[in-house]
Amino acid sequence: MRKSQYLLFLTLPLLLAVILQHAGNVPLLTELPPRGNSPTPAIQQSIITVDQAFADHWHQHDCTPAEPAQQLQVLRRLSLALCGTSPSLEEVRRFLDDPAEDRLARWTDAALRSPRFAHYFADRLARCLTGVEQGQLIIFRRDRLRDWLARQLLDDVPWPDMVRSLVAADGLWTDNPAVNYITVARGDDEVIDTNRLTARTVRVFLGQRIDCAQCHDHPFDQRWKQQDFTGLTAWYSGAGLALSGVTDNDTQLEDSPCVPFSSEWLPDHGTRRQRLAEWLVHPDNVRFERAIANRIWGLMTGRALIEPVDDLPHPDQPVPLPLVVLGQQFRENDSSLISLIRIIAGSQAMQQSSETSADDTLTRRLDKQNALFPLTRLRPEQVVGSIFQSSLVATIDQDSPPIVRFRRLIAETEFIREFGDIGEDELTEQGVTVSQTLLRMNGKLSRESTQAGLLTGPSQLLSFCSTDDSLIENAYLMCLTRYPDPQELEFFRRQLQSDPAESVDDDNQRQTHRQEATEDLFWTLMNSPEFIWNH
Amino acid sequence: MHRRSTLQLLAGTGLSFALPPMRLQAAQRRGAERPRSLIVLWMNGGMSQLETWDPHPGTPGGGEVTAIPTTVSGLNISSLLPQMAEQMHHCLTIRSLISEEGDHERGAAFVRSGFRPEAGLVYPAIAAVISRQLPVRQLDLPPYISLAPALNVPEGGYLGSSANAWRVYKPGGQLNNLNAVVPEERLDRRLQSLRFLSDRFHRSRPLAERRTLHDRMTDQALTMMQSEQLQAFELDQEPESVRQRYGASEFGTGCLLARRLVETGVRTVEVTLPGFDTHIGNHEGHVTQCRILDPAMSALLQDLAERDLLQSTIVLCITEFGRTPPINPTGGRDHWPHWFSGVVAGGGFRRGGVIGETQPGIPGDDPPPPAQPISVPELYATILSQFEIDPAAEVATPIGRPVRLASADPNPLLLES
Repeated sequence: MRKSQYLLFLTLPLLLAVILQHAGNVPLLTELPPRGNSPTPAIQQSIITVDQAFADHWHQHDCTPAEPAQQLQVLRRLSLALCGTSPSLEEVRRFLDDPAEDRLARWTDAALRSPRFAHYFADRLARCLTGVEQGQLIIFRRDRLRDWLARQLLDDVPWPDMVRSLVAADGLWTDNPAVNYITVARGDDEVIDTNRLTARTVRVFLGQRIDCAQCHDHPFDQRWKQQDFTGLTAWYSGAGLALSGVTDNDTQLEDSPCVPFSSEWLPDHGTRRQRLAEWLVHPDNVRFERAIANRIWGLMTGRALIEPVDDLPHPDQPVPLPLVVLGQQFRENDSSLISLIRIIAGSQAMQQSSETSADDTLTRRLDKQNALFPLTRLRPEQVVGSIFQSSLVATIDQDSPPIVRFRRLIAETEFIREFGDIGEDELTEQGVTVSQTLLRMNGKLSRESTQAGLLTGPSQLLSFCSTDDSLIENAYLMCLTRYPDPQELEFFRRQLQSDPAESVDDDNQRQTHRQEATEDLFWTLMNSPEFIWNH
Repeated sequence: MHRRSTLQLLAGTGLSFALPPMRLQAAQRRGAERPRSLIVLWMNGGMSQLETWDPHPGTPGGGEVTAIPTTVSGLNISSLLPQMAEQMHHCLTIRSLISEEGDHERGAAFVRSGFRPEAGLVYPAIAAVISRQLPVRQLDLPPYISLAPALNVPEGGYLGSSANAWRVYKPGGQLNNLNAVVPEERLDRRLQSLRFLSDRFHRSRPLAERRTLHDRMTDQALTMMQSEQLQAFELDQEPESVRQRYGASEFGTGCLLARRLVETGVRTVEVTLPGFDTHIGNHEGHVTQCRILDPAMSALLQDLAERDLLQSTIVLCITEFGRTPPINPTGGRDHWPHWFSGVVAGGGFRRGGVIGETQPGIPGDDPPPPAQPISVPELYATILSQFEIDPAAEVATPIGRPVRLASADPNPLLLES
């Protein structure tokens, strides 16, 4: 008995137990979650407006935008952005079975209602809000903040309300998770570091880096003076740590808070932090809407419209039209992040191809003006999520059997440790490294996912696909979310066919060869640049 | 045997990586003429100056430690480092390093790079700067290797992920991911298919190869997997007596490995010794730590000197901050960035020198700086200058902001006159 068969035999009872338990939770293929809804007329109108802004922008810069990408490619982008993995074969098949013209929008709608999206996207938002610093564990609970953000996303709480909750948060970090936005900035000396908090507030909510103004006037932008920074920090100076958590003690403060512009937006009443929050989210504050629009665009496509993501031009200066319009549409749709995501997902720029026949110079220009979908490296957890997902037919989500979710968690932790996290500046362009390449080529996760072992993609395809063509096609859909083209099909067909040198009569040898060639196919697909890059 | 045939096969399939050289010229050169290398011994968690390089026995806050004489006349160090006491003539002892960052992450970011942390810009570690500025020809291994690295410490920073260290989590253990998971024949088939797919992806995306570096990194990975230079990791090639000298710890193994990597031509190596965050039981904690550090560092210095490699290799033992002169009620010492100690040896640094002096006793609320303060940027500018890298040279960050390699000028006081 071969080793793998032996193992199968041993684990059969365990497997049965898992399947039985699993069957209780998830009816297999009989009752799939409802398909999403079509976009509302308001969202549709916003998409048209944003597309028009891009069209004007491209015209102005003499760019012809790329062709629309294949729908499956867009599905892959959206799945990576919203769920952190490439779509499963199960999802791809369902998508292909949906005859509706607006199936991408409907897939997006369904995704946006899922906890899988909420948790993944909340994690990415939390990075923007608090960075990747570990903070002081006792008073900073990243997990609580993340869960809170996920809840806000599922409830579609408007972004200004979320910002109010964060900036003016009071109480205990465990009790009111939003307060972690404040406590992450606790310095070593038991007080809130108002400098750090101010710098981050302005970066995240206004899209402006003013950290340098902490010590001197902004070197490039003369509008930001050191006194602006000092004036802004004073809004936080009443925030303190007590037994009951973060509290405000605004009386008897010596410093006087001020804002660098438009002080008429400040309300007369409230604590200092409440007043700051109202000023930030004020409907006339275009920086506020542009900062979040630019950031969400970056999270969705891998590259912000303006880079760096938090250093936007002053509103008096020329701002690219697409960002201006995207910000306006965000406000017009109740300042909802979910609506913003829908608009971006439906836009022509999101759905255009990354391919071109242009030469280097022209390509660079098209790339710069977003007339071509940008190539960006997947984030580490997207790589591990995609490797994991590509090795299984069914979607991994909160309904997956505990053993699958547990394996995924362990694999992710191990993989990211070796792959290296990107850190806070996740939208900065980075190439792959040699250690990452080695990890992908020879690492444990890649080995386990490409082996025809128990319940992995290769073994499932080997048992279910009757022809080589269907095997190759399914492997492509699982790993690259597309069909192979005829040349690719021919190339791998040859690989799957037995070596003429081997005896064709020997059925065992033929089986072994087919199994190895299938494993090789998965390995190749998972190591290809197409797999590792968003395109 | 295997390796040869693979190379031939790969050459036949058009995989265009540089064939690795069989012998490294750099490895044979000795003395001051040899290309320089840097070994950073990173004492993670904040090493106490008082239990190591700057003891004040018998004074308030001096703790239980005693001081012992060293090979440098007038220099006494902690009795927890008896073997290092025999090697101090190689070293410059700096007792007046200063920082303003008292938090682990921020402190480490500062001391590793010489720049205070800033939102929106991660400064690269000094080891990353050097290995990026001075590429090593004919090296199959990565130019910057970190042994038993600490998490959450910056490496390549704004230089990009390609400037990050190659991390070896378990020095002396099995190297991760360097063995192909399938036999050679299948690996060849996989690589051929990979090249086929990669070409197709890049064909319609002119900027892709430069941006993804996919093929280049695949070639480099293959070069590494097949390189004879991996022998540097085979510690059983060392006589038992040498291995014993470094001590039986992972850190000791890392130090021995660092020497072998430097001999192979690796530009910068970091070896991390964790466990210095002694908020509770500081004395006992440092007894344990010094038992690991003392044999390892002294063997490293002795070994480098015996092999005539110390003139070309800078060894820097440093930490993110010092520890408080007052001892807290749990017998621990807390974070103290106001002054801390570092030791640097080799590469033209002053042998047997001592710089800086700290006040014994418990300082008041606003402690004055130590005598002859040396800033970390100054130290790093001096190290860069010993690599003939201009610390004033500017590089552009990803957003085009020009930044100096070090924010201070070299200090000749630190060097041999």
